Amino acid sequence: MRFSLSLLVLIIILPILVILAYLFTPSSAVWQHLYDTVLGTYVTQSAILMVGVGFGSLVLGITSAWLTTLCDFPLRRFFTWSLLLPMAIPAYIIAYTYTGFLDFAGPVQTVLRELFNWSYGDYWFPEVRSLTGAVIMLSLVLYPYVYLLARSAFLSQADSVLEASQSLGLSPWQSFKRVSLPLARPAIIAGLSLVMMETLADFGTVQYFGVDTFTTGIYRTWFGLDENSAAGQLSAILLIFVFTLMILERWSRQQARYHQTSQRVQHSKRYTLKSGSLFSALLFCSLLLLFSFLIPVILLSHWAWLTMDQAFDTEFLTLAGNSLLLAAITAITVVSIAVLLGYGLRIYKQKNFAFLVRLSTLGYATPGVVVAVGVMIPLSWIDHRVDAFMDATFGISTGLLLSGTIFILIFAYTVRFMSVALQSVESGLSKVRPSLDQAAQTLGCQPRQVLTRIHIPIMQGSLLTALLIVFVDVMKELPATLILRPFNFNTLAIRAYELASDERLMEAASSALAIVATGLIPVLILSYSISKQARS
Amino acid sequence: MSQLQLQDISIAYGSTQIIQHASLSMQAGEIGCFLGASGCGKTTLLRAIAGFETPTSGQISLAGNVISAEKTHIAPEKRHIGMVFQDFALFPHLTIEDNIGFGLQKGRKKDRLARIQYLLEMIELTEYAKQYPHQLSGGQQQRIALARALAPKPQLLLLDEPFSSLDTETRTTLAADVRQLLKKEQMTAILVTHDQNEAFTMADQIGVLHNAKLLQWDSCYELYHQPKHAYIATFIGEGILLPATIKQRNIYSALGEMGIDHEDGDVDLLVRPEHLQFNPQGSIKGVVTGKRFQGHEYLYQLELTDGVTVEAHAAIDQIHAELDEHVCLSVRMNDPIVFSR
Repeated sequence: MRFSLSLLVLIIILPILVILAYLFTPSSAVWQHLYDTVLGTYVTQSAILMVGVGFGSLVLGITSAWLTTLCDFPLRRFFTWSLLLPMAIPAYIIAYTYTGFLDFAGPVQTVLRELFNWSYGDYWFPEVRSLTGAVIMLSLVLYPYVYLLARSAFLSQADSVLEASQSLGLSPWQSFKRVSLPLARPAIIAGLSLVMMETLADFGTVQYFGVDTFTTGIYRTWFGLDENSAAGQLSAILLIFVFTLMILERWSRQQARYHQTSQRVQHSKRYTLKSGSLFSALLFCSLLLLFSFLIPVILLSHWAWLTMDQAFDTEFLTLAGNSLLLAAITAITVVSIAVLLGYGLRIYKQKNFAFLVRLSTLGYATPGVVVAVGVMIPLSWIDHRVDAFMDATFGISTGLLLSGTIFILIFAYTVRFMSVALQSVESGLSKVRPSLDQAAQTLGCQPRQVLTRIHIPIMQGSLLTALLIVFVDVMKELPATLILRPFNFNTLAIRAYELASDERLMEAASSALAIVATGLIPVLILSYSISKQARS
Repeated sequence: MSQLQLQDISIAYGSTQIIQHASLSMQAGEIGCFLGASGCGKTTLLRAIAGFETPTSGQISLAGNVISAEKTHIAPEKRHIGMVFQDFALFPHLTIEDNIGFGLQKGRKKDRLARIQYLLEMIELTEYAKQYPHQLSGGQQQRIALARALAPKPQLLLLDEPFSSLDTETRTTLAADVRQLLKKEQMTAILVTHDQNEAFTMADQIGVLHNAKLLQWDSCYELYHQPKHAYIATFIGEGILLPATIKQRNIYSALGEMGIDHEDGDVDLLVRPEHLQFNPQGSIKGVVTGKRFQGHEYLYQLELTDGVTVEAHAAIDQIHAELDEHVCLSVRMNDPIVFSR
């Protein structure tokens, strides 16, 4: 059993190994060409994007977290949970929305023109489809990572520490700068690394805005130039960046553990804000919520309403069906594997096995484009071998058995989302005390029966969470789906992408809105648990 | 034929020896106990019998069948050994009756229900059958854990510190109840505890473990009156070891000279409080250095003339000695217990 589980893990990490192997392959002529022409642009654009989004998310995330945990102002509880909502919106969707909102024909410019009686060319207006635009879009939907981690770090800081700093004469602002922030630093860095990983993984936004980053570069090299090995090499370089961030994130989380100063953490007292600062706090939180969530959702709903008659046609239903089916199959597959691996970790305590299972979580840091390339290369290799063999021996062509069907999509999603599922499963399993396993065993249960009779019923909640998160992630996923989908197979995300690319933003709204609505489910559940926690 | 037999069991984690060469045997229906301070290996030995630990050497047989040996390791679920866990390990997602019936997979439904009903009545929790574990008190949970372990009629019942999470009062009454219940079911059982009173209340045979060794496997009486190891002498009951020398069937110590059937040499003599009596005519002189009230009597600490300290009881109405008072004692020891140094 341990052997088959190990084999399973190896299959899951195969795509990543395939990509990493490209680090050691000799460079081709195309690679030399890329190196001479675009590689510099990819590196600088990706770096600027990463730094910009990192900075933006830090400012938005830390400020909102500090205000909602340590200060008191009207609507604080409301903001505590509602500031998480942008997590439900994929970056590419908020990018489409703001493009439609701010472009020449959009409501903002139209109103300005009517107000001042301008016409085309009379005035300057910032271009949203730019690197700066991408930084803003990504910051608006990624800041919740920093917010979440900073928030829980601030909450875990004991009252006594803040009281001590107050008694030593520090103003709220000073004690934020000199006590709260340094204590929360590891958690904030962890959040920041997540934001940067997501930024590097982003494809939809930068592709739409025409920003040349690694992900768009890989896509273009793969599809446009049909240069597999050069795409592989680009992917390998990107992976190095991503894994560095991942190590940074793991390391910071470990640091965070040692930064809890006291066990007594009751925030009975918050800073009461007065007039000026109260107004600023309210304004900051309201604007953040407005720009990151309300405007996009209202706009999407409005567009979906306007295009109602053709938006929800049979094609939409087919696509929705495809998306739901794909997401459901993947969720069940991924969570089942996660349960097996999690249980394997629990019963086989060997270090090697544990290390191997840990490797299977690398996928979550790996950008979808890279996963797609890593999955495509080995599967199409197998397909061609099988096809040649079958053709030679039986005279039948089997075609692309694996790489031409939705199998390859499910495989790619499994690689990408295994980590999320495994995390939920492990946290569920950790709630089952080891003595329960042993009790069941002394009562005659085989290990398999222990799993079905004890663990699965007890961790039902965690399993549902895992299913839901994977389901939603699949619904939102764009780049891997775009590259790997079988011929003539579309999903909601693909339709939104294609319509937006054709400048048919309004028609894209119904698909986009459906994705956001599904994405809202887990975020609302998270929000609910946080608001419950805030109340108690 | 013995119900349970351990032959020369050793257990090690890497280079750390947890249990060294433990042997014992138990008759059917007997209640045994592993007694020792924390870290002595008692729980590990119990878990080896259950099958959760694999001995590095030695053999375990249950009802004549080898369940663990050099090349045999029967899985825990196939050993027919019941276990009551320290934290009870009740299944939180199942009702009380489902918990008790968990191990009853085979057989007719009617028989299973009858068995559950019988056990519920036995532990007097019939009215809680449909409730969940978290709704019950610690003592009730303990009884459910016991009933659950007994349900499949195991060949041996293991209890790992079964009372440690309960408060002191519940503990004493429950220990007596559990013994009665096990005797009624004619269950062979082993209990692990660090509490002597619990061991004495529950067990017929007690094994004292210290530093990975099973020092002695005997009845309570034998452990107290015939300890085979200096550690047991001081661990069980009160007592101190007094340096002494044996020469030609006489033992010389701070208590004077006594006859003994032992070879010559330097030894430690076990002196329990009941060996010493306050006696104005006594030949042993001492000074009171401490005094502890124990209800019906005082326990005195006395420093003898050559610097050693011993302990003695005195009934409240018999003697009233104050601190620093000089007193005389006599010794009454029928069969002196000594340990070679």
